[in-house]
Amino acid sequence: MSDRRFSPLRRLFLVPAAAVLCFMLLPMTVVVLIALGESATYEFPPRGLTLHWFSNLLHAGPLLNALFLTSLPLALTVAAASLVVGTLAAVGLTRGRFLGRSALEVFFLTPVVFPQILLGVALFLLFARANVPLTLVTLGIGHVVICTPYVIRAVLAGIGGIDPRIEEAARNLGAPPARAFMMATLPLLRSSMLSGAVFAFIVSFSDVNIALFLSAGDTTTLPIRILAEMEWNNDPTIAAAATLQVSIISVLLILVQRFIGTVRA
Amino acid sequence: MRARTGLLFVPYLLLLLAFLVVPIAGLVEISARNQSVTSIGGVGLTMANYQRVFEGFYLDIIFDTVRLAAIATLIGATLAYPLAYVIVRSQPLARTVLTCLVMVPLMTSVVVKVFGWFILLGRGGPAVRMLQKLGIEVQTLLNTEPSVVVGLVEFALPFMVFSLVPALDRISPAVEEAAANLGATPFQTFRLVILPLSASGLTSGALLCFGISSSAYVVPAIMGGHAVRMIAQQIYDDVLVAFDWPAAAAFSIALLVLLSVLIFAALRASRRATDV
Repeated sequence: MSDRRFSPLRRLFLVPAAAVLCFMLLPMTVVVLIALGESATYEFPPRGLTLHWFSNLLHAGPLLNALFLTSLPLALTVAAASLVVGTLAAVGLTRGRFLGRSALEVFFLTPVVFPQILLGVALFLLFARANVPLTLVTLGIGHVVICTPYVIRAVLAGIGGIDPRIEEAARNLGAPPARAFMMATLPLLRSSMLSGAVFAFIVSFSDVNIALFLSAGDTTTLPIRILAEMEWNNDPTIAAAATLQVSIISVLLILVQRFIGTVRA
Repeated sequence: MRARTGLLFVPYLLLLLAFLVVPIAGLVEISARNQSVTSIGGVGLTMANYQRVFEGFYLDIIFDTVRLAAIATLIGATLAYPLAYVIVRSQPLARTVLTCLVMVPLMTSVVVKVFGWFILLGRGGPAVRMLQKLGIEVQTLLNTEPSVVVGLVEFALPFMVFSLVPALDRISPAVEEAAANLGATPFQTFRLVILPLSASGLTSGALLCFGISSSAYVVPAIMGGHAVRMIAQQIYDDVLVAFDWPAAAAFSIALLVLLSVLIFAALRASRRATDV
């Protein structure tokens, strides 16, 4: 915790920090205001407020399909798969005592720092050469690779905060090891697992770099659809779709922050 | 039990091998092939693709990419410091709110952010109209190097802030107080105390920012138009437009090597710095 009684530097930095924060939030705010504005073009600042563009979204087939038939089901499935694979990996990492354990941990987290665009290209060429058609499954595989590290990180942090004596006590009371883990430790990991899964969902939901190469035709995700349409169609309905995206992500982040406590990316 | 639970990581290990290691190995293989109309993966064995990467056209793209990513990283680090510092030195509630406000742009799709810049800086947008009122005749502020830098900085900033926060968190306010008691001005305190003590966060943040800026596709593609060409755009066009997969693969490997060398050098430098 910080001591606020003394910090002249904080006072000095307050205005620059506020300016930087505004700069960071500026483009997203513009998109939201365009979506709420009355003008039928990208007019900024907007005149008058309306929800017309959101109801218009219901008639915008491609955007709606991208959101409800591709992005949302994809992100939910990817989050679930990442949760299972990632939790297993994190538990395996902390339970196993073997040579190269820390190297393996670093390897498991590489997808976070590996240039996503290169992973997209590499997977695209892999599937193309193996004559595997691009479907939601291939896209999902790419997403699970980049999303699982977020689950691993959250669960590893969670395991670190659990007193090992709780599981020991369960075992001393006669529970077989697997049962002791399931009954004593796993419930304590629930919030870490949930926050990891939420992050996996968000990473999949907002990904462009993988989808740029792996989404095709009927598996176009929302970000790719927005990217394709925003330059050529001067239509606030696209801004409404983008606003929906930002809102879903913001609500999830606030819920994680509120109910699970501080999370860090 | 220990031996068996240790095996729980195997599914993810296999996943990474099959869909990270194998594809990259495939990339290396394709990069050493001749382009062919009969075989999609290319034929023969050649170093010609790498020679091409280090010739005029591709080399210019590499230099431009490194330059723009470096500028964006420098500006990003400068802008991130005040914000990260204020977050760390805030009371719990303000800290939570500020963290959320940085988290949202961090996790939001880059497409949405670029969309916002496209409206703000593009044709008939507010920025252009303001300049026209001042008598400066411009049609658009997009499609220039500065516009790409703006996009890259905004994209990289949250990553930088969240790299600096843990490093700044480790600095006790008492240290700053001591510096001030010894007569340091706030600026001196920052330069002589805060900056060196948070160097580790600065290094990792700068590497992260450089990495994502130099491999960015959406920002230069939308905000740079035809005026700016960065590595990722060229890779995308070579793969999906020109179908020149060997060139794209060689270029991808070049980017990967560039980033690896940089990370290795930075880690060594920071280790030497902490040894002293």
